[in-house]
Amino acid sequence: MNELLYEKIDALPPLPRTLLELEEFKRSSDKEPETLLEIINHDPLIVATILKIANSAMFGFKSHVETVSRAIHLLGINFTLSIAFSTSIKNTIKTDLVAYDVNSDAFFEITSMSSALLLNWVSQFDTELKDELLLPAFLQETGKFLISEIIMEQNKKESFSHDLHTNDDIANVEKKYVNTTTSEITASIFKKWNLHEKLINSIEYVDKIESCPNNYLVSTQILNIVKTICNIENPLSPKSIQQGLEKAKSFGFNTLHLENAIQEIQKKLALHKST
Amino acid sequence: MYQKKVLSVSKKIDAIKEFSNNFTVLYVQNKPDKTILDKLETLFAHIVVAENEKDAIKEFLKHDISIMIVNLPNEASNAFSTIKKLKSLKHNLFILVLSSQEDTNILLHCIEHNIDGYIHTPFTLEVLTKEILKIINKYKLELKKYQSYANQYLKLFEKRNMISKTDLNGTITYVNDIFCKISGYSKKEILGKNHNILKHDDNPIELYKNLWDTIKVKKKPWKGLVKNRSKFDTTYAVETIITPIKNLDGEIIDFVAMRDSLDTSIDDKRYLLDRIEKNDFSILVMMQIDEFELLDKFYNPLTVNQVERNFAYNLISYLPTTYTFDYIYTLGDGKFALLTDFQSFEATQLNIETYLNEFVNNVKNSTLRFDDLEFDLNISVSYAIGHYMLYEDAKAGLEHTMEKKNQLSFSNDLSISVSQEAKNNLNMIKTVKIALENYNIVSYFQPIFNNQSQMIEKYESLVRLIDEKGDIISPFEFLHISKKGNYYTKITERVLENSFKILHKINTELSINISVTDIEKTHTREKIYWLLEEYKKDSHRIVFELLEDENVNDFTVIKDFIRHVKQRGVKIAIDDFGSGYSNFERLLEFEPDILKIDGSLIRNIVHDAYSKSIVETIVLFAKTQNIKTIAEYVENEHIFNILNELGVDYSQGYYFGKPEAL
Repeated sequence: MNELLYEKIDALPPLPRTLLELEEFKRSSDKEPETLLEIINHDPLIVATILKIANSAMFGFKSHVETVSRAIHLLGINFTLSIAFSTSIKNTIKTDLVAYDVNSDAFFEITSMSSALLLNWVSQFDTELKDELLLPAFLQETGKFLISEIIMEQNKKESFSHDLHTNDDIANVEKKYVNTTTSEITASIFKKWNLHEKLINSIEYVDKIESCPNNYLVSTQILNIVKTICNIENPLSPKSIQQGLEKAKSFGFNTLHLENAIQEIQKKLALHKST
Repeated sequence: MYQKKVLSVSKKIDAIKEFSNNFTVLYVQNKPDKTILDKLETLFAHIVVAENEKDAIKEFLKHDISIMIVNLPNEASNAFSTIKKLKSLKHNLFILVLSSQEDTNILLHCIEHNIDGYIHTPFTLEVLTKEILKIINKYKLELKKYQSYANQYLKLFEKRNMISKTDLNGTITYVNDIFCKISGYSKKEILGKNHNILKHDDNPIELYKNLWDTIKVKKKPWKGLVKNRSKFDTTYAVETIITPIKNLDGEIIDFVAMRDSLDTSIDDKRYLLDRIEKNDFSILVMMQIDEFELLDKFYNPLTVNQVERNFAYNLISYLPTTYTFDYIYTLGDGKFALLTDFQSFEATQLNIETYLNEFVNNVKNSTLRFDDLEFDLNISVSYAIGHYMLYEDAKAGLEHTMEKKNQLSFSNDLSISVSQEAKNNLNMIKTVKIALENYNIVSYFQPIFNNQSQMIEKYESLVRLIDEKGDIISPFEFLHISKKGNYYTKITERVLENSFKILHKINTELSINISVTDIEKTHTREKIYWLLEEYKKDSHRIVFELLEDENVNDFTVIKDFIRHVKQRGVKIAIDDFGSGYSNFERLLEFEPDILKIDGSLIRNIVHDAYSKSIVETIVLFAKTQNIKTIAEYVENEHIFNILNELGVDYSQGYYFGKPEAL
């Protein structure tokens, strides 16, 4: 039944916050691609769908479309807007992660946080890797929407929530209920959508590092740490940070870089909250 | 004329029963009489019994009563006032009065109230049947009258609408002429066939579900846009109303479908927009038969129409077999569209551009034949993908494709750039207006050198616009657009004024650009004559550079002008000679003193032998005609040396000097 669900997914819905901004963009007289990019760049669900369509065999673009700005450039503003506004899937997928007790705004915050953390941390030691991992860090939690759907369909929300609260490892809980994890399901969708290999490979093993091939190991470890610290249950909580730092240490990363990055993010968040 | 033959009682009863099934009888019995009720029940299937007058009114309002039978009480006046009241409510209510009293007053009342039958009680069944039969015949007559009105209304409808009727099983039982015309079937072909024959697969299944649920279950009229398939496999989309026709008992007897025939011609566009709206994402392919306006000019409308129809009919076969678009939308004036939903096409893994290129080539390699005529038609194709502004994008793209003489273009966002362009144009027109008001249309002057003497012997006056920010705008950006805003003439006149004024500052010749269009304008012409008069002693220093134009309306005006100004010592130069429309024959009519060789030839002269030999020919020709030559775009020494070698008389270009304010 899990198979069935993600085979149904043609497009992911936009988050409500994005919709408001898009409406405004649609009404504005100056439709600059940069403005549109700015809006959708914050929405992992739209970004994933746009990348999917831009990589369709139908267009036969010479190389894989790997960035959102290139996708907008190729598809055009009107089509990108249409994709963003597409309502086709709204009935199957809800934009709140009900099973995880997280609403779309909170999800929005967490994905932005993840991107910011990755940017801050990885740029301290590998700028090329940072560019490569920015999109995966931003998109890696997308599969949660499907898992949430499955849990709700099976009426298992209560026990699922309970297990999430009492268990530190979200992936383990997911595995117990739907026999797959967020990273696996995200990778499967992206594979089906023909997104570029690097993106898929770096996400696929995040929840099962032990079976990760060597050439993706570092990327996968980084994403796992980001996901641990900015986890959907307790993002940036002392405990999550502690776990993240421990992992970083065991994987052999310089924890100083990570600590710096976390402090930066916390500073920014505090500043953001105070204004 | 009715019932001339005497029928037996039982036959009369049968005749009544056959008809009385269709209506309800109200019996007002006043005093219960079982024998009367029995007799009535043998004749009527539906009897409502009222005990008294008051009761009668109540029952009358509850049922649809056709015949009322009143057994008069001893005191009858009350009964007659009720009869009067009910008659006023339903003027075609038939009334039979039964009375036991032999009272002439009652008979008079009956006549006064236009009662349809009167029987004295007690009576036999035979008497009753005879009287009822009379009433029923009257009833039938009334019905016919009503039907004749209804038929007249119906005829009016039929003239405008496409009408068909089906029975409960969907078998077509009636179609009108307009239906035949649009569907392509004759009455003979279509009557007795199931309505499915018109069904088009494009209509969503939900449409049919909703339709049947409305008309069969809810028994209500249904309205919607339906696509139907004609006999010739073409498709027509029509706004359709289907109404279940019910009998007196509320049972459906058949369905009548009505469509407005006037809509069918414009329906394709509406249908297209409707489908785009319903699809999540679509691929819209819009095409135009190339040079359709020529077709329109050379053939009669009937043939053109036939070309369009035949072309549309064949379009499907021109499409590559790897994917089928199932419907051709005819948009008029040689325009057609194809639409499919994005997902279906995407599932095929086909490349859209490859697919459409093959289509364009198939059209190119085909010949349309009918009635001994052959047409080799080509098409320009624009396609857009998406949802929002899809039609606008494809349409703007099609215009763009035709303009650029491309065959195929991907048109996403084209409507944005078109509106952006319109906005820019509007802004530029505003800028021109402001510049005119503030005398910011100015003239720059570029020196022209004599190749022999190496001296500045002329200047060319070149127009510039200074915008509100103080930026200098070149004529390429504003001159063409000014024509749309009707500022062009004003600019020309401003240029003339500026240029003539500068004659005081320089002592060389001055070259001023004027177009054939300028000369054709009386006002501009008179302005020039006036200026030449004003600057009489300097007019021999004026050179008019004429730019040829393909749209010369009246060449005698131009010739007269040239003669007129030449008499005042003005010289004539031909601008951009060697490119565009200039030709040697026309040249002589202008009687030029100077030829300005086209800049594109000069710019390439160092590397392009072809350009060089054209310039050589022009110089040779000019020399024999005693015409001087000027080379433009002389950007460096290399160019200059070659020109000198070829014997060109004058040079103009950055190598010698930029246009500047004097």
